[in-house]
Amino acid sequence: MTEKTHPGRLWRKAALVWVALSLALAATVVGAYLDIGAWKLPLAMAIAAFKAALVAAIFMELTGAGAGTRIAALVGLLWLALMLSLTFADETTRAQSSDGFTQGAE
Amino acid sequence: MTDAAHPGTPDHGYSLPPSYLGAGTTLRSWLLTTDHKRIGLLYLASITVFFLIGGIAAAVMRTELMTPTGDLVSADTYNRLFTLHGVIMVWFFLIPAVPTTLGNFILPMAIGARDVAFPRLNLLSWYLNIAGGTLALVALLLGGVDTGWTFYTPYSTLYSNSYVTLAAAGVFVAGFSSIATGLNFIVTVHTQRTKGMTWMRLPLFVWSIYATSIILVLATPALAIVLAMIVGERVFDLGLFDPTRGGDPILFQHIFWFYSHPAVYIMILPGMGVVTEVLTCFSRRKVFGYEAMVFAILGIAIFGFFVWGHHMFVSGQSTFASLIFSLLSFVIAVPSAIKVFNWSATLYGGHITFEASMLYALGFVGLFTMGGLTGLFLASVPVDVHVTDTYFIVAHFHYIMVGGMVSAFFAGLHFWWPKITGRMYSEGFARAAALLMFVGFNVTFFPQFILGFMGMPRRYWSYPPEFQILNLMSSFGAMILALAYALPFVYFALSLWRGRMAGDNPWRATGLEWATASPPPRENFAEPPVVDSAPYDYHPAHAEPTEREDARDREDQDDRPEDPR
Amino acid sequence: MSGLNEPFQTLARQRGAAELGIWIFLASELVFFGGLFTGYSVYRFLYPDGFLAAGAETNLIIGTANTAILLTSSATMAVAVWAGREGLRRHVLWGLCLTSLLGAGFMVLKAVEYAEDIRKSLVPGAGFALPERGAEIFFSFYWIMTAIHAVHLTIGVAAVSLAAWRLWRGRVDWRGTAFLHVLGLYWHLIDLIWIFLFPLLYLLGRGG
Repeated sequence: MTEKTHPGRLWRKAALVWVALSLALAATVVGAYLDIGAWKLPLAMAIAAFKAALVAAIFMELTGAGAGTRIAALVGLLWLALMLSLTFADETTRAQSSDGFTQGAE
Repeated sequence: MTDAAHPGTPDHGYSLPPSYLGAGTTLRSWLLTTDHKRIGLLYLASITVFFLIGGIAAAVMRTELMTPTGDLVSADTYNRLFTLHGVIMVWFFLIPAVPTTLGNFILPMAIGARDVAFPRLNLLSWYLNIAGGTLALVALLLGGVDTGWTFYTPYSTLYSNSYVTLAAAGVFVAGFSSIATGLNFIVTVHTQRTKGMTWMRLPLFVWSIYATSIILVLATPALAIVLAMIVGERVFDLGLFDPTRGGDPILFQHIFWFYSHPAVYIMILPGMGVVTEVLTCFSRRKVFGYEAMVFAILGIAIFGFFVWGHHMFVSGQSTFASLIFSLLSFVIAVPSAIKVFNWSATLYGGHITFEASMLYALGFVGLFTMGGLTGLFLASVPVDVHVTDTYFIVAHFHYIMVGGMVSAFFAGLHFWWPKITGRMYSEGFARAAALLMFVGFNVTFFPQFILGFMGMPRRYWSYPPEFQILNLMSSFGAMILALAYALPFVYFALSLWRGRMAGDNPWRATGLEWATASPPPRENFAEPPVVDSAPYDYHPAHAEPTEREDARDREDQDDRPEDPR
Repeated sequence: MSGLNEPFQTLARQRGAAELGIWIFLASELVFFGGLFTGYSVYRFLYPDGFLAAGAETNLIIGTANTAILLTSSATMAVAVWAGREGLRRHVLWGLCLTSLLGAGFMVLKAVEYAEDIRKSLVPGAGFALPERGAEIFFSFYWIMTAIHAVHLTIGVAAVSLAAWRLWRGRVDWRGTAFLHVLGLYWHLIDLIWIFLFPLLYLLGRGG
């Protein structure tokens, strides 16, 4: 940290990130109208992840944070992924039970 | 004073600050305290009340089940009784029991800290717990809830006319208390360790509370959101789990068990920590495989999140998912087994004495092992399908929860009672209660394994006459158990009134909490202790137990200062 | 006022503890919203067409405007935190006031949008407007996700306003403590959640 930062520099730094975020917002709205079919969701999620990464890294200062803090953030994400993936292990395979299994139930 | 032998022990030769109990005696000084020790006692009082309420519900159920016909209470009342028993015992006794009482009292002292990192948050979490408990109790007094503690959809959302919303709100509020406590302990362990207290010198009790806190913080919000969804569906008619609108009721179970399976480890891990402290102390042995124990604790905390689907083998979950969850459930048995083997190896060659807390701890090891092994039956899909929703399940989780966790809670309470109050209790009475609890527990719950295997379903208020003998045994055991739970009230009360002064370290235990006065001063230590050795500095694995020294020390113990009163 | 609280010995350590504490809270918030995201994803997988049909009914203009507002508020909040570290009191106050105003603006727009949704009978239950299977579930998630987000935002606006007022009156130890940083981290989390809610709730069924 510098001894005495000029206040204008703080606002400029934030404005720079804000411009990047706004461009990403514009891109994601435009992307929703593109004729790219199944790629819409991955595109939207990738842009959202980019925006989230900007906010987390610069506004939330995650890059300069202590190890414990970064682990906490990472674990939060991993647990979210865990909930999604194991739930989907069930929800996406419901229809795939063997014939004998479902016939017995009917 | 007999504890001057420990490294880092402050010299008590000069006048000590007054004990935390003497720092104010008004009700206000207790209700607005930020002292972790007093907050621990506030929790002790509240969970005792909840334990009594939950216990009374259990007693009524066991009385009903003495005869095959439903004659004491109606079927509907019976449903409300087991829901009350489950909700109160799970969320207002088992989950907070060890972490918030013994954890609050001992953890900061065990790492040489003055207090937890956020003392005011600590007090807030007690009030949240009380608020949640009050909401739940109001729901139960107004007429009760009949869904079972699991609030399964679609019954809880579409059909139940009982006070589901209010009870869910109560549990939701108590969830914030859990998260606050977990967060506080994690930050405390990270930032408040005294000089020389490195991570690999932490007592295993501290490790276990730390791991429990991680689960509290990561699992509880899943419960909170799923309860919020239930309330959303009941109150605002949202179609979140409603099958008539295309919703999937099983999705509720996924999110619910994402919390509630790890919650089992919230209950049992602190117990494992307590038991490690007690077993090492009363076998005068360094714990076997300290590092393996640490990794087993962390392993249980993490892998506990991967196995929730084994509660859902018959729910309609896909076969593929059941297969995955079954496999993962077998994996979680490995760290649990490591712990049991290490406890056994710790005892091997130790200089074992059978103080009351040791009896409870040994009981824990046996009962936890039985609970854990029957858990392996249940992890296997074909066996689980056979015994699902029978008394086999009831017996299995009571072996873990009551046989394991409640035994460990009593082990810890007896172990640290002299530290908390500064006084000893009647060892004879305490040993009798410990044995009675072990016997009563097994007489109550072992017959339920057999009943379950014979096919008696859980949650029914009547049953075919051929099950009566075993049910009578179980109810008789419950009476013994009730007596065993009543006994400590008597001798602990006597101990407060006229118990012998304990001295700083009556068990000659290692651990920083024993290196200060009993009861400790508000600041815990006269000056911050410095740690220069690993925990459990009893005698190393290859050395003979120093029996003669032990005997001499014990004679010294009798020279404790007399009760000033 | 030094801002040093029991049981800490130094401000640096107290700052570290506060930062770790709030991040642990944020991790638990992720799991909290994770339940909603999981539910949403499962049903979107089960009813892709119903979700597309229902998603096209949300108000994209208000949604985009609100996203821009929240992104801006995060920038002003960040300035408040950075200025606080430099001891620039006036800039901290400006940052906090702008943040809180932007948050309030979001809520006003959201209220307008809710009123329109109710007019269009997009409220789950009897009389729900859309016939497609799964559309009602989409709107069930739309309501509960935005409502819980709004609760968080309300708490955020209240906290930031209170902080600004107390700072203005000189009643808070913001120099050298983690006070502003912790407040900022909570605010940014609200933004982060919205960054994901926006594409999930507003961008479906647009264009071709």
